[in-house]
Amino acid sequence: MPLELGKDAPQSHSVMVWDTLEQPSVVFKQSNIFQPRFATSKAEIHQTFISMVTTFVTDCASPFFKSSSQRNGGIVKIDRRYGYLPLLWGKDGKPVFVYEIIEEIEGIIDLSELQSRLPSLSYAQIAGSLGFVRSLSQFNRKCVDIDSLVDEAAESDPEFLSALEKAVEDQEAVRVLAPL
Amino acid sequence: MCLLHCNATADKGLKIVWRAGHTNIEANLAILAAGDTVEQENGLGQLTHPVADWAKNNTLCKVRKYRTSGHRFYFVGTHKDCNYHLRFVLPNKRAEDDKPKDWRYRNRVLNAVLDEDICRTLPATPPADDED
Repeated sequence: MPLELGKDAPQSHSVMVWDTLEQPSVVFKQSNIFQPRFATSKAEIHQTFISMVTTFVTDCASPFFKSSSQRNGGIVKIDRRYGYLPLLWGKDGKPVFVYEIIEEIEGIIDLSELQSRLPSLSYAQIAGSLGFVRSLSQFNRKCVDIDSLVDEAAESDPEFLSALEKAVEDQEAVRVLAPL
Repeated sequence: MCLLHCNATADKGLKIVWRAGHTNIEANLAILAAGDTVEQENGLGQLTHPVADWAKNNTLCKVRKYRTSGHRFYFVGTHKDCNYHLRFVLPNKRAEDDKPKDWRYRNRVLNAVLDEDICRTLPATPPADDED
């Protein structure tokens, strides 16, 4: 069960996989798992990692997601053909990703009301939890980080970068945002 | 309690987010900023992060990003200043109400997670049954 750990908890070993259509590759980031004493070559690391992910997805994550779907009417589809990315089929015959539903919830939820029901939590903890659920619903067999995939496309656009640089240099505040 | 300011560009972005029906986001951002103090980062500061690709860009290296509802919010400032400045908002595709772009976005996501053996074009209708 996901728990929030205190500041003294050991840092988890994070491994990020970027696997795009255009340039299939695996990049290890901030990983302490694959120190030289465990592997001798990049190919070996790659193979070990792919094997770990495949085992995890096949034996644990995918069955867990499927049974979660079944317990809730089997409405959410966890289909290998779609990389196990949780999705629903719209009336127009097109898929809608479950994480899009979480995004909509994030947009309409009133943090102050939610916090009043869970007063021991901070606003950031609640917002962070919603983000966590969104990330979970982006589960897929290739471990593609969908937020990053979508953002990278937008954030590498020269037109966007130029507009952002201009906006960052505009220091004139027009108003202070206020809670409702 | 830290404050959250916005410039004209960010204000325009917030209006798009509002028009998309995400009417609580602005208040939520203000509440999150108010969760921070000069001494402690318990609110917005905890949720924002720098963008690694911009580390070497003199202007953008100080920008921190927060993602919610698929919208991207770009800030400068830290809890130590106790003032955050929202400088840019990149609304999600659905908020832009641009269906062709929206469809390209979904295709991009699906193409990235699909099985290599499977045709990468989307079916017009749902598959008949689930496959293990």
